[in-house]
Amino acid sequence: MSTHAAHDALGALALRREDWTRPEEVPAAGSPAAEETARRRLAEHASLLPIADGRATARYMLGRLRAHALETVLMVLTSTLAAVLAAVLPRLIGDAVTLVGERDGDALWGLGALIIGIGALQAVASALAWAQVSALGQRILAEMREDVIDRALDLPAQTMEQAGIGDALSRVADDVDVTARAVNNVVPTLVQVSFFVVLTFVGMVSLSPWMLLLVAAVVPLYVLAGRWYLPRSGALYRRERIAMGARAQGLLSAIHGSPTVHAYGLEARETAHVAVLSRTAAVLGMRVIVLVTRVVKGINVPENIAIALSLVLGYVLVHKAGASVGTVTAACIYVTSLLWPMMMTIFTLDDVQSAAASLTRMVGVITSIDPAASPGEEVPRDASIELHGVSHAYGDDAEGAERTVLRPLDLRITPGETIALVGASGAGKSTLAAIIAGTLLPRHGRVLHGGADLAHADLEAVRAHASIVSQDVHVFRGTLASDLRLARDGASEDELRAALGRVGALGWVDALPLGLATEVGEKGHQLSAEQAQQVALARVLLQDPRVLVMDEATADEGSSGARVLERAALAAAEGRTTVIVAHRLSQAQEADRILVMADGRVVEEGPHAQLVARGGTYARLWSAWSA
Amino acid sequence: MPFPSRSSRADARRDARTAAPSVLGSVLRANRRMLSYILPLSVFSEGVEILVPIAMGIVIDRGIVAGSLTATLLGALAIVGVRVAGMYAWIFVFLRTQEARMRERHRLRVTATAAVLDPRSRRIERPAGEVLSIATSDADKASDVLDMLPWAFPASLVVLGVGVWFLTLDAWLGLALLGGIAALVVVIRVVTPALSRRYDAQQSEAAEAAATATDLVQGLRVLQGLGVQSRARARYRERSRTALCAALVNARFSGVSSGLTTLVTAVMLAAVVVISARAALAGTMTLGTLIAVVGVTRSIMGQLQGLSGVPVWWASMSTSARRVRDLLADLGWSVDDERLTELAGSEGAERTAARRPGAGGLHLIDIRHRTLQGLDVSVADGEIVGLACASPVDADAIIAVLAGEAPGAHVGARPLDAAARQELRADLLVEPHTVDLFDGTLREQLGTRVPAPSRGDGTEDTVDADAGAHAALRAAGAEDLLRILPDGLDSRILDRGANLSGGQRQRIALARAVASDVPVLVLQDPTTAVDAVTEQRIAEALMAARRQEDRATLVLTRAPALLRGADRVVHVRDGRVVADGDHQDLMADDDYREMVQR
Repeated sequence: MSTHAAHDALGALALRREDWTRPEEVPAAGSPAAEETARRRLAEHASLLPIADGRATARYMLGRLRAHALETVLMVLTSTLAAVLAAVLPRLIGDAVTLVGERDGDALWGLGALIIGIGALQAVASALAWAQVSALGQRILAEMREDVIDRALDLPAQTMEQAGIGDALSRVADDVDVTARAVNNVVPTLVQVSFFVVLTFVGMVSLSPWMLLLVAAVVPLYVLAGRWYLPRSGALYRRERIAMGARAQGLLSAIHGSPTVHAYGLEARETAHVAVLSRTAAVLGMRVIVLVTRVVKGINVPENIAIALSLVLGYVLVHKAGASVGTVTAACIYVTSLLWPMMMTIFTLDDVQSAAASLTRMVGVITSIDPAASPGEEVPRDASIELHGVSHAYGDDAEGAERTVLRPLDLRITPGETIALVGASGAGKSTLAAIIAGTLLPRHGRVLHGGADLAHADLEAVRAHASIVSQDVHVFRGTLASDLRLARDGASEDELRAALGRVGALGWVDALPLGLATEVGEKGHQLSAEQAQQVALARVLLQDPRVLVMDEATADEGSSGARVLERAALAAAEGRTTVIVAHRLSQAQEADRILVMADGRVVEEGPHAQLVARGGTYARLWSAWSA
Repeated sequence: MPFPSRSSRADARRDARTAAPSVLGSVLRANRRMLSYILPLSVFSEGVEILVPIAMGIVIDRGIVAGSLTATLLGALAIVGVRVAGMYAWIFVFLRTQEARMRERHRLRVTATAAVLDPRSRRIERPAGEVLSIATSDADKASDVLDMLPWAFPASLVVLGVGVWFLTLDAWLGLALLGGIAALVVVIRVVTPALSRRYDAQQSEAAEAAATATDLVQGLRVLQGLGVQSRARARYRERSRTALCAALVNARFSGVSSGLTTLVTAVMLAAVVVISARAALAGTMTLGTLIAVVGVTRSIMGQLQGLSGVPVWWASMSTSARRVRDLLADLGWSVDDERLTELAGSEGAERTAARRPGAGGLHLIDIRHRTLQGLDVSVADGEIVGLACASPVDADAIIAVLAGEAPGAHVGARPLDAAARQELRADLLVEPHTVDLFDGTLREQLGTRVPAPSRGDGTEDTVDADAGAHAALRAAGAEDLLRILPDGLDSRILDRGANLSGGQRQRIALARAVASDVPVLVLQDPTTAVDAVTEQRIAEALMAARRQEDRATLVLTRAPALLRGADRVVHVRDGRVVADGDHQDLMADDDYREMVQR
């Protein structure tokens, strides 16, 4: 009885039958706050990356099939062969019944052998067909996932900031996974079944033209049931999947944030939040179930008509057209062999529909986002930087929501110079840094690297010319060596060690269980924030750009660590034109020139000593900091 | 304090797991009434399916062959009638069992979630991804027992019934069916394990490719910063191709397995046709029975194939159920514990509490934990104390003590230990250094634990609530966010602050802590991700916001700006207090100056 009590304890969050039998929306439950967050998470248009429509997806898939024309043709041929052979079997059984009627015992053995022979052929054909469908699907999927990653890697930073990376991650991981699972099993089954169903109808008609009557009565009803069911269930499945995703996200963020959950006493709120989403998914799931029962009721009608007609037509055929009992038997077996595949199709449709939804999301990314192309052919000559009338704003000025973050600015940086940007958060430091590095395109003005305008420069040349080390430290999964080799392909172990040595990381790297071959990243050895930053700087040394922009957070205030990092940053900057977003004034002190920023503009400019002497904003900051 | 050794702790955990009630048992117990009438009904609906080919055989024999139109029509009508009844029975069974399954999924999921988040739970070291998969896919799979039982039970009865029927018709016929089943079992026993090995290999390659994709997208800024997108692309392509190779091997094996099943079916069908046709010729079987037997053989293959998958299904189901049970047992709960689900229903009861009066400050008395060697620090009501630890390890030890890990901390006169921690939460907030924000608007972030009168819930005091929110943002130097975020206080902050920079996240967390207006607030390095200018601004505004006579604040930091703003600074070195005084005075000490200016 205790579990019933537990159900009751879920209170408003328990599942009740009215929730899905009533036609209204998923009813409210839980507190307004949990509901509100849940609603936001369930909003269908939460994803910001493009989604293709059904037609575009179909066109794209056809194109892919055309690209694999030979495999496609082969697949259709073997599938047809397998289905033809399968459709022959009921006729052979009918022949057996006829033989019994004719009392021909000897021919029976031959017929048995024929059934086995046809069965063996069918086995071979269906094995081939299955493997071909699955292989073709896997090939296309592999090309698609590579294209998706291809586009994702060039997504502009702003898009990622607005969307969060969640949407991009779900495209490259979840959607691929859902589709792959379908390709493994459901798609081959479904292809098999559809060929089988078509050829079963063909087989029926081949028995006698009268059977056309049956086919004409039944097929439209099946089509009707399908057309009623597919769009309805498709919409429900889509919403259910969103709810499931939101549920996972909610649970994961609560687990990750459990120190905060406990500090603020949020466990009830977060549990309720997950419960609301879980309940929503369950209610939507039940609505699908209700839909399934209706479509089962629906296809029961053509099934019953087919069964009754096959018997009545059988009577007519035998007594008016002189057909054999074997023909009637074959007809009946054809009819009954349709029952099981139809049921199975209904139950595999959820996988198919979620795979289809995932396809539209993948195709959306592939077809709507252009692969990065070189805007021109100019190549930077030296490590100088020039900004002419550069300004930037976020948002759309048509709607009047434009928010200026950088006001028009001219700047000239000579090769090898070190510039420090100082200012409060929101002053535009990071924006300016990203524009200088070329990762952010300013709304107005020109950025020149070594005389080459970034708007007309060779893409790979600029990428190799300027690097930015941003606030996010990320250690890639795999060995430490493979992480570093992202920055320089095929770098020798000595080169890697030299780079690590210059940023002062060799000590701890050698202490790792396998040195450079130690697995790091998400599943491997966890590096501290400080070590990760050293790795980031070592990557810069390996990639060896002529212009370096550093917009990194300082380490937590562990004294030794911060000093090590400061030295490492100096090592990385050596011999390059460097722009540093200075979080600590000690970083600014070392620079050749300091730009003090406020409100999107440069308010003071000059070397440390000069600015301190001038007694302005910077001098005040410095005295507060060093007092 | 004696601690049990590692191995005996593991033993204890194993014992707790095996002693915990089984999850499958709980699921079945909760639905035993439903099962008691669903199972017989399911036998009926499943029986109808197998009756159809038999009935058609009889109608062909007695109606068509016998030349009776009436018998044919009546027979057809009867079949349709029985099928309609069977369908309604099936729908009833299906609705009830799916309903129960959804309910159990939901219950297991909420129970697991509540257990993971409940502060009374034992601490566990499990990756978040694993906990997620237990609370989602394992909870789902364990509830599948309600899906399997109403199908597997009648299906096995039907197969058994058909076997007995065949045996009574003709010994050879029975043998052919048995032989078919045996061959199918062999195919499944031999092929399935090989296949699942391939499938697992494929899945792990695919998972590896997916993980690489996720990893690259997560490190996108780094890749773009270095301009090495093309190298990352090549790396992913390599992974994707490896996954494709595994998938192609798997595709071949699946094809072979499907072909073998087809072959077994064909051979069995041939045997049944020949045997029953000979029996019919010999006169021991009517033509109708012959047709029925052949029809039943074809129909039953579906059930056989389904049933052959049951052992694997059962295995994965009970593994999942065990994983749910083990998670709950490790956390110190059992699946039927009602106290867990109360949590989901009792949302927010404590959140609307009124502003708390002063709690008497925070007192750390003779703390000896980890590296701390008799540390004494007191923060009285109305005081803001900066705590500068030379070693971050000391700071972490103090935070651990405040989490109830070791004795010695007091809120007012009340000692803080693991048991009292929960009830002291209303008076003590230790803002975690690692920032975690939850999905919600900026307004909601700030209102996480705002005392009742000034909570923004859309009523007429919204203006006041906004004033509170603005004050909190000001105290955290985060007012610029209102300018940057598109919808001001109504801007949506994504989970974990995914749409914000590190400095913005840190300042929102700080504003959230200030807004809670808690009697005793402890902050650890609250400004590590912000620049010097903003830090200075925060130092002034934060101190102004917390400087109230019934509020006590302890800031663990080495940032000079914050230390200068504090009423008093305690300098901790080697686990002891070495100095206590004004920041300006302490700056005379070389060690101290070196530490804060680095």
